[in-house]
Amino acid sequence: MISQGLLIAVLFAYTPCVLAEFFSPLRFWKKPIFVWFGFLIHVLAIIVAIYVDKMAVWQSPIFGFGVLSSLVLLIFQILRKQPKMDSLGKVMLPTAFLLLLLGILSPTNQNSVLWHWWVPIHVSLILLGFICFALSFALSITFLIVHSRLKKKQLLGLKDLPSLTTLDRYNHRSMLFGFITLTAGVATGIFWFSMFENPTWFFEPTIISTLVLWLWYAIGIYTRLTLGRRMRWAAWFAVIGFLGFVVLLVVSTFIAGGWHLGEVA
Amino acid sequence: MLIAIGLNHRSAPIEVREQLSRGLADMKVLIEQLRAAQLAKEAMLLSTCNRVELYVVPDQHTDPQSFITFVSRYVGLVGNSLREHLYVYSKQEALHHLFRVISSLDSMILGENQIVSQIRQSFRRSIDLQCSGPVLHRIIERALSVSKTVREQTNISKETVSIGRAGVELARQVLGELSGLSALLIGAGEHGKLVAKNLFSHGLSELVIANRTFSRGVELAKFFNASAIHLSEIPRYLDRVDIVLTSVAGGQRLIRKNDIITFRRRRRYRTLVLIDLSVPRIIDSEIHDLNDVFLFDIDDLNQLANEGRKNRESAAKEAEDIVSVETNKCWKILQGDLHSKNIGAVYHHAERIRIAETQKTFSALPDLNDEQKLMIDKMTRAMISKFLHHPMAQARQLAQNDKHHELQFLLQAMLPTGDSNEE
Repeated sequence: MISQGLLIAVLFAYTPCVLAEFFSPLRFWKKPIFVWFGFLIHVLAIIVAIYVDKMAVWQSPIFGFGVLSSLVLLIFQILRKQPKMDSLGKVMLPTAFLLLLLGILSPTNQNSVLWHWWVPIHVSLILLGFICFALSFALSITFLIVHSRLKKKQLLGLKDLPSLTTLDRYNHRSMLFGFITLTAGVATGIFWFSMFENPTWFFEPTIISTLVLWLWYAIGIYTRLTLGRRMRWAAWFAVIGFLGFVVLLVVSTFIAGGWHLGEVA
Repeated sequence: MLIAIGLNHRSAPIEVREQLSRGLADMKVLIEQLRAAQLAKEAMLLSTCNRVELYVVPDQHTDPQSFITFVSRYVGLVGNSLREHLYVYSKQEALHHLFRVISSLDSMILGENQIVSQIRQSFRRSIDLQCSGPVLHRIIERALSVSKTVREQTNISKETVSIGRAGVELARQVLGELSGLSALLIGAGEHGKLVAKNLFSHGLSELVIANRTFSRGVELAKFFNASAIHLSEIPRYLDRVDIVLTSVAGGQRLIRKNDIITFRRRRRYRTLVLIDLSVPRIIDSEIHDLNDVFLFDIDDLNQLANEGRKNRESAAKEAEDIVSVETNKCWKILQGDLHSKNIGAVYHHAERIRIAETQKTFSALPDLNDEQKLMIDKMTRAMISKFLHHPMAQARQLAQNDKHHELQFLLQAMLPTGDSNEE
């Protein structure tokens, strides 16, 4: 498929940007313009996937991971304009890179699912939720790094990193927004699902993963609002939640046969 | 073109700096005397707690050493008492010195930012008193630009070098912006006051002071516009405040781990920063192991301050390179301006002679009609132009090849004394 070839090109375009986050001799590649360049090819790949290869996000893991990856990068490019948020690149760029790599390595089969105009709304809301949790993950990793260094009194060089309170605040907002959009996405999915006469694919891995994710973040937000569990507790919660979800998504992709197996009505 | 004369914290003790500062305080009288003595056309006095410097645009043919004599006499210090402390820089060296000063490379605290506003204020004062002119204006404008470049391109002003700032940095690393936050200061030690002062200047909203001697606490609270409490009231405030600073001498453990554990739930696990600047420490160090509590001591603040000083020192090397490059650039521009003036003066001088001689000729030949006068006028213009063409081409060549002394000599040779400008 043409889009798969383009996604491989995107992977190469992002590689120096990702490496620049960890190796100072490559810091020239840290400039936002290089990420934007890769992102443009990424968007082109997505457009080609939709109109040439006739792919849909919920049917094809390649496309799905590709879209997730591009949205993670877009969020990062917007957020890095805030003071010290550039440091999130150390987590968000590799995360986007890995999501893209997973997509390229995914099976190319597409699953047939009943089309309805409701589907793009459902998919967009779910994706938005995932992106917020990916952001929450990046913020939480950075939080845990800063927290650890403060606890170990490794105080030098912390000035370039956001404060714990800032990271926690952004984390909370990402989780909250992600939870709201995911709830709306799940609700629209249930509505779409109710149109099937004999729905046999309710217990497929992607749906289970999403519901588990939804429940996990519901608990996290509840404990924060009622018990005041924030900062390190909330950070670990977000990290475990997102990692667990990615594992389930990988299982769905490589073992269970794909996203939304479905059946033709 | 520029002379800098003065003394600083390295060259003179404070008593001498004070004397010079008082002596030179009346800028208006000073510049009048400088102009009357044909020593300077423009002047600016920079007087801070660490330096007193006079920057002058000299009148032509002024020996820089004559300024030392002038200043000594003006201030009323005889013999070598001032001379041995004064330094004087001229021409490019003076420019380099000014650029170093404004980039805080010559400051007592490397990288401090106050000097920029001090120079700005001094220059404004010299404008108000009509002591400055176009040359000084150009130089100061350029100096401000160099200062901005140095601070943007190096870390010379970015690192923390004081205990006070280190405390703020740690508090902000945990809590973010300090506005809306409150702090409790226990004790009246110097370090604690320093950190509290810095916290306030970075937006802290409320400060509560607890001291063994309540009256001393009240006095300190007035200074900070804060409130004072007794030591026994500390537990009541521990669940309210975001930062606790301690600075007492010779005290016992005042805050234990169990105290904080008790308050954590009441605080709904809100983050608490404790900065224990007391020696011996009065906060239980095991408190640092609690998740939402961070405890720092004087060693941690010193570590940051020392690292900051080291980083500023290595940034200073970069800054010196930038200052050297900018000095050379600026000097070339100023010389270019000067040579343009001198070249203009040569043409002006030639034109004056031409007009005078043609007027003399017209007076001697009253029968000349307008057309004839016009032809004579045209002829003399062409003669001057052709005559000056080769020397001016040479002058441009010398300027391009940076042969400024030869250029100055050539231009001065073509002008009567008093018409040329000297660097």
